[in-house]
Parts: sequence; structure tokens; C-alpha cells
Amino acid sequence: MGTIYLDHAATTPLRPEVAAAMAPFLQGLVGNPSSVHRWGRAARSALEDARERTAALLRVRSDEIRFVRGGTESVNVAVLGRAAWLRERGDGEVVFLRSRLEHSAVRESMDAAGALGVRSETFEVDASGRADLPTARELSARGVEFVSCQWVNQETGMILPVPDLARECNAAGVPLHVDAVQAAGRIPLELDEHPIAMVSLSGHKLGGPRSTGILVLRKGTELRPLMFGGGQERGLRPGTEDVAGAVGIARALDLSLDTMEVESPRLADLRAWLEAGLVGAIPGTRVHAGGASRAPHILGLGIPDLPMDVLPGALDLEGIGASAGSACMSGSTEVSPTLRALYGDDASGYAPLRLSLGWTTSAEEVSEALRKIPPIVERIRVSAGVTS
Amino acid sequence: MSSIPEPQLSSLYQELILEHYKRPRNRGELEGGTVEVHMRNPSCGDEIRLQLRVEGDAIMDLRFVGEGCAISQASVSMMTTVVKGGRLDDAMGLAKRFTEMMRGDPEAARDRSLKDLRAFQGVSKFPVRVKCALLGFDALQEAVKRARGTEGSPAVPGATP
Repeated sequence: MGTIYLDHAATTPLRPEVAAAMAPFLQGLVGNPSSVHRWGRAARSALEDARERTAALLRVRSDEIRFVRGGTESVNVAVLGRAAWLRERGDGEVVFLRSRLEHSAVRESMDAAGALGVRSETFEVDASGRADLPTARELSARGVEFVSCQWVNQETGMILPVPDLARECNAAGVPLHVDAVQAAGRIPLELDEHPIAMVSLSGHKLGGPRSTGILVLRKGTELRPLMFGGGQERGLRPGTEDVAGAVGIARALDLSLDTMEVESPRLADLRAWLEAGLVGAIPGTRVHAGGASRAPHILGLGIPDLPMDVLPGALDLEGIGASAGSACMSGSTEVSPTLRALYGDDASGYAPLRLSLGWTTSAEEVSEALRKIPPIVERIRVSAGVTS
Repeated sequence: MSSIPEPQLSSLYQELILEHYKRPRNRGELEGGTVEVHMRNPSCGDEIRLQLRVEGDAIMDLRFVGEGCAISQASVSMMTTVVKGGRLDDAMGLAKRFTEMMRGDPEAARDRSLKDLRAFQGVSKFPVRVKCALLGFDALQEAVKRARGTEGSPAVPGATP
């Protein structure tokens, strides 16, 4: 057995069907979609086909799809774009609300929006998945102008109650932005059924290309552009369009959703196997958000009596790819904001390990991981002078 | 340390479905076919053409060509491996049993005669995908009826029960 990759929530291999779909747009002359000649029209046609396909898959209108350069960019365009729009309208200080579990893209773009007169507030979510959601009345009373909430947490897989929150936001007339980067292709989104104003997606988490993302911007929600130039993507993402990228992310979304009813139960079973095996073999291990409803591909563990940050490196030496919190937290020895929000000070007593599964994960890989990981943990405990 | 638990059978089942989707069996044109049926699932655009070579009451060979979602194509592929070389009666019985399983009959889901096709039981929990899984079996039933000559009228493209 060679290496075992269990970090699909960080990034997952490009699907071969995606590479095949993109290939014609990565070689030779691919016109600029804004050009009037045949090369330009061919590129425009491929781009708009990708947009229509994406819209149909997400059950929204094609003029509500903006192709952007990644999930982080999608989040920034939504958060800062809304802040800039409110600022321009002259509202003075406004309140933006987010859950305490948000990815750094949401946290930091909201903090940066402070310069545009935004005051950030948070709502609590506990380890059982219960969220202290604001009611429509509370949103209005607190002067909230924008809410952002992730659908699936990147470190624990926890599914947040987005449909409930969408209902309250809608009743209060407050636009809701949802970071669905870890949710797409894993749980049904059904965007036609929930009044969500903005949704952010990332291509490479679906087996698509890097640096591709989508912002779903439902009709009637206004943003101010953050970048200026040729007006592409209805002004929100100027610059010559990445036709290959749009074709790639559309195909990746297509494949992910097409196989979801089979793939998600498969990953859920593999995750359950991995979870039961590791919890049984490593004394004291707790499952992060274990009591909450979780997306099938992420297993967040807290392992006591272990130095905080050595596990991913030790696993790598044995050919296993995994991470501590989210990949964006790697290298940091601090407790992640997610785990601090869920477990408070207690989080610092457990070394975090995130194992995440994807479309290439096989039962053999899981079996091998189960065989290899417990002795590695035991060795670190012994060498750190902690025996259990 | 406690012993490592085994994976649940269902993850292996799901892997089997994905495997048939990626590498479909008995796909292509059939030389010397005696019956041909074309079926479409209008709700999601799945489409298959199923060809059988029937001799007496035996399905000597069968092949399909089609386009559509993962579940429809995997289900047709797996169906062909189970009915190939078998009798018309058994194929009809299998199609009925599979349909019952997909409609949520727990008795049918335990029926060993379905062999690997029991992998699709999980899909029965997703009503919108049930029709996709049934497409190949609808085509099979139609083909068997025609092979027996009991059904005079040609299959109407787009017709699903």
C-alpha cells in the first residue's frame, strides 16, 4: 500500500472527466468571450453553456451565476461588496452577523469590512449542532443588515441550520450569505426552496480546477463591485473570463451532484467505520460535533495527551495525508476558532485531527489508515512522556 | 486496543454502483439482436436503447447504449450482467422484484435472487432517483413482452409506467 490521502476537505484530485472537458479550452486559440468574431463567439457560447448547466444544477437562474476565482474570492465579493453597497447608500454604521464557526474567509472579510463602517457580531453554535439563531424580530431590533453562515463546517462536518436561518432573514428582509464550499456535492442544497440571497462555492473542493469559484447572487440582491475594468460577470468580476475554468467547475458540479445519492452514503459508511475504529483504538478520543448532524466526508477528532501540532507531520512520515484543523489553520499551534467556539477552554486539552474523505477514497485506504494511525499516536504519546 | 470494526456492507454496495457507472458492462451495439426497446425518463433526460438476442425462452445476449445520470446507467449495466444467459421468466421476475425493492418493499430488498442489484436499495430513499434506477428494468420488461409476442404495440419513446 502506498500513500493514503485523507485531506479531501482541503482539496481533492481533479476528476478525469473534468480535465477532459477543459482540455479543448487549454490549448490553441481560445477566443476572448467579449470578441465579436467566431473565436470570441465560440468562447462565449462555451462560457454561457457552463453557466446554464451550473444554474440548472443549483436550481437558480443562469443570470444569477457569477464565475469568480475561487471560494475565498466569492466570499469576499459578497461580504465586502455588500458592505460597500451599504456604505455608498449612506447607512452609517451597520451590523453584520455571522456564526462563530465561520471559515477565515468570512471572518476576515467581515473584519476588513470594519473600514467600511461594519460592526461584526456573532451567534453561538454548540457541539450538538444547536445554533442560537436570531429571529426575524431580533435581526430587525439589532439593526442587522447582512448575515453570513456556513452550511457545513470545515473542521467537524457539522451541518448548520441554514434553511431555518434563511426563513428568519427573509422575514426580516436581511440578505443571507451562505458559505457552501464544504456542503456542495455532499448534502442537497435545493436553492430553489430556501430564500438565500448569496451562496459561495469552490471548484477544487468538488474535483474541479483550482482558482474557480461561483457566487450565486439571487435576483434583487445588490452588491457594489470591488474590482473595476471590462464589466465581465455583470460587473462583479471584471477581467477576461476563464472559459476553461467555467467549463471545469460546471462539469465538476455536474459529476458531484450526479453521484451524490450514492457517494454520500458511501462516504458516510466509510467515515463511520473510521470513526468507530479510531475512537475504539485511541483512548480518550472524542469526535468533534459527534452528536450533531454532519456531512459525510469530514471526521474531526480531538485526541488527549498529545502535543497539539505534531500529528499531521507524524502521519505524513507514514504516508498519510491529514490535517489538524482546516488546512488554513495548519502551522498554527493555537486552537482554531471553530473548536474554541464549540468547546471553549476545554479545546486546548485535545490535539485536533481532521480526516476527510473524497471521491477517490476506498475501503482499502480506510482500512490501512485504521491499522496505521493508532500505533503512531501511541508512539508520540510514549515519546512525549504520556502513557495511557 | 479493541479490534477494528468491519466496514458496513453498504459502502461496498455504493462502490459497486459507482464502478458500474465508470465501467459499464455490456455496453454497445448487439449483432443479431431480436428485440430492441428504446426508453426515456423525461424527468431527467436519461435515455437507453436495450437490445436482446432471444432464442426460445433464453436471453442469449443483451447490450445497451444510453446516456444519462450515474444511477440510470449503473443500474442498466448491472441488470445486464444478472439477466444475461437467463430465462425470460426469470428476467421478468427479477424486474418485478427490483421494482418492488425500489418502491420500498423490505421483503424484496432481502431477496437474494436480486444479487448485486440489492446495492440500489439505498437509492430507494431518494424518490427523485427511483425512476432513474428503474429505467433499465422498464426497458427489460418491455423487451421481454415483445420477445414473447404478447405485446403487439411498439414501445413509445418517453413512456414510463
